[in-house]
Amino acid sequence: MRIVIRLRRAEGDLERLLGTFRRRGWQVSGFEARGSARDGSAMTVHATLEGERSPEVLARQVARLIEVEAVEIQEDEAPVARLAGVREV
Amino acid sequence: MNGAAALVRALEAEGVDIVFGYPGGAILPVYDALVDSKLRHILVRHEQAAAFAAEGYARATGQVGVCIATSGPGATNLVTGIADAFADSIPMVVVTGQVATSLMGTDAFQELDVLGLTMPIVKHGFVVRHASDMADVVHEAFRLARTGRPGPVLVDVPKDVANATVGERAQSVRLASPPDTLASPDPEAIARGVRALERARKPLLYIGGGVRRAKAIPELRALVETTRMPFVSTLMGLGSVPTDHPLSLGMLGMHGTKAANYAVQECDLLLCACARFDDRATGKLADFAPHAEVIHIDIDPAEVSKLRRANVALLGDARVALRDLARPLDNIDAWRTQTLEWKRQYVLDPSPRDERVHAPTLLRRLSERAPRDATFACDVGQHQMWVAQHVRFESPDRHLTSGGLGAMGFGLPAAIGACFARPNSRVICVSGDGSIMMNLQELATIQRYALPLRIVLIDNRALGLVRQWQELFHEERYSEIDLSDNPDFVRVAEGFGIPAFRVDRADQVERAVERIVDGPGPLLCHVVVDPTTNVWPIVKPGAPNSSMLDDDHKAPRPAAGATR
Repeated sequence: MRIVIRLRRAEGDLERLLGTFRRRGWQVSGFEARGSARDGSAMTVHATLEGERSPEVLARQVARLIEVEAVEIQEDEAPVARLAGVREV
Repeated sequence: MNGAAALVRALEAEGVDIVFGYPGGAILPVYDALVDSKLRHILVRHEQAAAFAAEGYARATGQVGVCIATSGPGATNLVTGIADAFADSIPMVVVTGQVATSLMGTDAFQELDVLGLTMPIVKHGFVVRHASDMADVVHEAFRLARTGRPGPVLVDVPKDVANATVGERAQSVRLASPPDTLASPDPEAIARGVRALERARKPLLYIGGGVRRAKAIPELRALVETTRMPFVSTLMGLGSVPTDHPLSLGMLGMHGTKAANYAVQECDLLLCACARFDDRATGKLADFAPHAEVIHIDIDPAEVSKLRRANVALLGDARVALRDLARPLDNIDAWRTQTLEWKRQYVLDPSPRDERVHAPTLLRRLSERAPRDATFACDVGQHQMWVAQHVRFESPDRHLTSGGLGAMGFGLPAAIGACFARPNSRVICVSGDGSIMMNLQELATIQRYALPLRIVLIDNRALGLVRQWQELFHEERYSEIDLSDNPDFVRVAEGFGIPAFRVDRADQVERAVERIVDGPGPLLCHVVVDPTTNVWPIVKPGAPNSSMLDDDHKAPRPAAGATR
């Protein structure tokens, strides 16, 4: 499963993201993070994850992180779940 | 003005009037700023108690609780309280001192990466890197702590930042926060929920602690009265509708009532109001509400379909969801009659068997005699479950209990927080001989501030709930549960300057209850009980809730009228 996350930069942002993957039962087999704003205020993460649990539930758990702006789950290259804009929780 | 003063001023601007804490090296600038502040600081005797007391204050008031500690060990001692607040969605702002930024990452004295340490147990964490950011960070921490699903937020303050001069711009007080907007559930989903309710013949309302957090108690109560649907509650949801309401089947789950658990097993529709299908409530998940469609109301999308798939998800403002679902339900009379028959048939409250004190009986009597607005704060263990089973609650904010984390040591400091939150109402701490020893030092805090707290210490000279599990599920192979060498708790309390007395016979209970309720506080009542008394019913961990055990029948017993 591939997950694409857009986030605002904040201290500890990638740690929080990786910690969420691990705690929720997913193993990271691929990870790439790149700045996606000229001023360095945003980043886009592409991760490949292995796990048995629901990708949609993980997407909502990731979306709960304060700095996360959008999450997209992809399986077999096609997006299966999109969260455009994140509800504040 | 320096960064520390800006922090204190921002706390004042947020309306904070009381903070719980313990000073130390890295947080010294903040304590210096407190000298000139109108904030009231409560000095506890262990940082863990600061976190629990802030939680108790927040649980009782609904406001954001604030605790302060220094770096390193001060911060680590807060961790259990932070985790507890996270597990039960309690709004809290945690301020920690930190070594100077130049020393961070050098293994300096009392240096600890508290941001990293607390990541899994906070809603968010900040390290304040510039004194000019202090006010903004504090205000954002409060906004995050109290909006949406509440939770603890960390503000870590390096010492050089606390000491740095703040420019005029950053001295401005509270920013105009964005409005706390809350989306209403999708109307189409509500319409599907209404149709599901109207189809149902055996609907059941399942109430969680989130209803109170959503300020949706009036809407919940209106829904109960309109639908006349029977309801069950989680530990955290108790009192959302008064626990003695005729349609209340009691608490569900591991130590739930038989009526509640049988109703869950038999219902054909489960309306989950801000609960999260916790394993202590569901038992074996695959066998939980096996015949039911689920409507799940929650503010947190991550809770929906996490453990049990929701047929209808109502995300957002629970007040709107509950209001729009409320309508009279036809054709549920037979179901309601059946559930109330279970309630009548399986009454909790086995009578005392001998001349010894029976804790459930004492708690029930205490509940009857205490003022209706009394607050009960409990610790964790058998006594906690007896409070949940036998004390009457009219409101969930009168029942302070460590639900998700189950943290022994919570009770005494949480009760201290409640005493400051409700100085004019009765606060009763029910603790156990295991739990109270985890924060016993707080008797000094009670004495220092002359808090009129009543402590009911249920002493079975054992770690009772662990002992019960070892008896029932480990073939009576008792391991490290004996506390028969406890200190003399009456003398201990008196040593702290707190009047105390002992009760060890059933015929002393009435007089003891009278003294607890009507006598002056602080007071500790040491209640000696039979170590072999267990909490009933009980569901074996991992077993379905339908397989409850009780003291007469240590084997599954089908419900009258149950189909399975």
